[in-house]
Amino acid sequence: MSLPVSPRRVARTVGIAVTVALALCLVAPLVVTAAGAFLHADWYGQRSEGAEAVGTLGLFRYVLGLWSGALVTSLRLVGTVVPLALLIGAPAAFAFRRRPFPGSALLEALAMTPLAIPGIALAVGLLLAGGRTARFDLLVGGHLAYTLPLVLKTVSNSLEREGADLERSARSLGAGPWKTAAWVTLPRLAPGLVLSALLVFAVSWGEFNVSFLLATPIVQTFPAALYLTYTTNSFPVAAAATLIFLAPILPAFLAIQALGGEEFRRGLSA
Amino acid sequence: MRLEVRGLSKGYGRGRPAVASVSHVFPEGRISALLGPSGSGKSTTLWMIAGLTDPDAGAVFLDGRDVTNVPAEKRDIGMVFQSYALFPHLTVLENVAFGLRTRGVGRAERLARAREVLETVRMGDLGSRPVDGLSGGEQQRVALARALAFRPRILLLDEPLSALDAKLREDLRVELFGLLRALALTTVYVTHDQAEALALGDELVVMREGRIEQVGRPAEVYHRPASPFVARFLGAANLVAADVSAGGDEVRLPFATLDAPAGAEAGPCWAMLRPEDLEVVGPAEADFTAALASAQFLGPVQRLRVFAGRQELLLDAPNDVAISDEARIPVRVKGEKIVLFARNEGETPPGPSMPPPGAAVSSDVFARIVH
Amino acid sequence: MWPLARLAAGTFSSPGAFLEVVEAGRYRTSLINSLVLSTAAAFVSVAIAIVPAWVFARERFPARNLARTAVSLPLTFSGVLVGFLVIVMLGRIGAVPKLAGLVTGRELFAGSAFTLAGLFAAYLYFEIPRAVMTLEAAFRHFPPELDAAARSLGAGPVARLLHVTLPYAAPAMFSTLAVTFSASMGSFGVALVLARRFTVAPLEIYTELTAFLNDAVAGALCIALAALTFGMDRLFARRAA
Repeated sequence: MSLPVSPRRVARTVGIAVTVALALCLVAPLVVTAAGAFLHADWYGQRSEGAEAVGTLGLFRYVLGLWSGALVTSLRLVGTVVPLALLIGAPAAFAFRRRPFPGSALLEALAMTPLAIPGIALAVGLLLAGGRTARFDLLVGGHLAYTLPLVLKTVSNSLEREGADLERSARSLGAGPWKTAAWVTLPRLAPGLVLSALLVFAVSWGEFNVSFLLATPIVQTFPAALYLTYTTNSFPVAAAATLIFLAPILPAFLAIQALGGEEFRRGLSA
Repeated sequence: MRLEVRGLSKGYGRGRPAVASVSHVFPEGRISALLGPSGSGKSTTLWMIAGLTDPDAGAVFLDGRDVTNVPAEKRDIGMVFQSYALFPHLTVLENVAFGLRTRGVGRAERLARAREVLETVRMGDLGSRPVDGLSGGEQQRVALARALAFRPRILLLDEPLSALDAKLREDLRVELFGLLRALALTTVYVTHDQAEALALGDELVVMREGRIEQVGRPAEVYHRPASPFVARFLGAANLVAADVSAGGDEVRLPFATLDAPAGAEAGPCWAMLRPEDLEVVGPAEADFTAALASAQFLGPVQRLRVFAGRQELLLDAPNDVAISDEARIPVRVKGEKIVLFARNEGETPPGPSMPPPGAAVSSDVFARIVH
Repeated sequence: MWPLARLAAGTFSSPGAFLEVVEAGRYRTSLINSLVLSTAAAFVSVAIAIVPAWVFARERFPARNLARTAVSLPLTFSGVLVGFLVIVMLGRIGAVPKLAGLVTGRELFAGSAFTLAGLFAAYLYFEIPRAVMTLEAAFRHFPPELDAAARSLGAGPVARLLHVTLPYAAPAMFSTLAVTFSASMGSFGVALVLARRFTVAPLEIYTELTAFLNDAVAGALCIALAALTFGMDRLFARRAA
């Protein structure tokens, strides 16, 4: 009474098929978008602005021309947020984990709360508190609220994984606290720090809630500009803008995957 | 239930197969101990018997029926795993009743039967507890109860005691073995611990590198190992390069000449002598003399490391005797305990086997290092 | 840490608006819409994620890493982006209607991007990756001997799924539900792009804030939304890992 194909084989094949189908479904919109950014503008029945011919980068150039200000703002923002988040978050995580002081648990929990609050609520609060003006530092503050918890979590995980043993051995061999931190802790934490930086970059680059609410035509981040593109420009232009937006994210994402970013899925809000 | 495997093979593609054509008939109603070092294929064989791993070749027969293609869940076997694998979301009682539940037994009845089985393993009053608070020994008993609750006709155990620490293992071993003996089920017990295998098995199956090296009753295998590997795996063994005389009546070792066992073939051989087969005697009765290198106090015996000429030997002496003349210890070979193995010219001698685990460090060795 | 204090100052300046929020139809509808959609999306995305998560955790096949990268990619996408992608596929001139038109002659699903179903699809798009990754981690820790033990005790594949695998994964599934639910409740960008003919809470908040300058109501809505999110989160968390 033997079966030609074991049921386990069948189940496995079906499972893999379903998974691959899901992957394809998720990737499909991107493919269509990419196609749109390079194809002839007449595809959607109307001539698109800035498109010259099929397969050129004309659309991209157009978008860059249109939204260069927003792009620059985004870059400035990210350039500020990433170092700040690391500079504040990493030592904080170290303090929380290795040298807890009275009230540190509370502080840590407090720092983590932005993750639990709906994104829009956070943005509104910032707007009201900041007086409705589009100030750069408000944007930074908002982004930090989202990203500090990420850094804290990632670095804490690294610290826990590495354990304090190495540090204790270093101390027993005569290294003072600063030397230990520099020669032992920091190198071990390096992958965690890089991962944090990448995560912060990804989150900050794509952050929309706060950026949009605080946006004016002058001070605008690229995601906010993206929204305007979606509502005012034609599809190919929007597609090109999308691809430009995705361009930095994709390598960052691959790097995060390579470094093992399980924290990633918890950290992002849409 | 009669269990037989024929030509079972399993490979994982990385060179040597895990199991290479294993065939054996397991005696009905008896305990077979599958013994071997890690990587010998014993667990893989067990899992193939259970149906949890599909063999690349070969067949498994239960009561004469070919069950090779029957899925594991239909084979009606009880199995105890090395990690116990108790279901964390069920209570002890529900765990034990699981095998009854899959067989369609009603809730009241299966819980009642589960309670009965738990009594047998002396866990009767812990039924409603969740699983995660249990100690290693308790988990082991629950795992056993679970495997027995539905009255399987074959019981398979995959290193059930190896997850416990040494003292606990010894205590539980006695209890477990008593239970297994009382059950009179066809049992296959996989272990890498030779003490367990020797103590438990009605039959010993020694495996090495995916093949069966020797089968027999524990005493047989211990006293008459089929190969140097088996000899050394089952206990300490001295292996000495020797020659059998042309007439086959004498064995010439470097330090002594002894009577050869019956049927010895002339020519080069390895002579195996276990430490307990050598005894310290008065000068008149000695077969040879040896010089003391070090002594380890093992508790029940003293294990002496001696040199007979250039040959290093281990021998066991009573634990309360002081050696008078360390340079010339008279040694006698007991009875007909010598075992011979084939040897090829030029083979390097394997050193005497390592002392058993848990032996105290010799103070003499320390002295040598420090000075 | 200090932005938090500012946030608290900001949102707690509007006590009187609470009544308005609860009673006025539009606000209540938006909150209910958010709640219902998010809950449904959470459950559906977890349900869809189970099989791929299991496959990623336990099986090896040629395209595994590629598929895994593809599935987790949407994690990086901003809400606006997801909204756009849904329009690309399901808008009036989206890819799916076009394809359907080629195959069946009728442009199915055209314009569905802007319906509740469209927003739902968008929620699924960024929640399924999250769910798959979380569940995969949980499944990876699933001790293999547990499944073997169940088989040795006579449990067939369905029985094992129901009585061993799912109960084991239940805590992880609940925490995934909590995470996905929170994500969609607060997501603004998607709603902005897609919710044309109906409303959800984040959108209402936005309009109150910017169009009507009704800070009080906006603030109250925020609190209500946060409270709802927190409440459901607790509900899930009680059974979570």
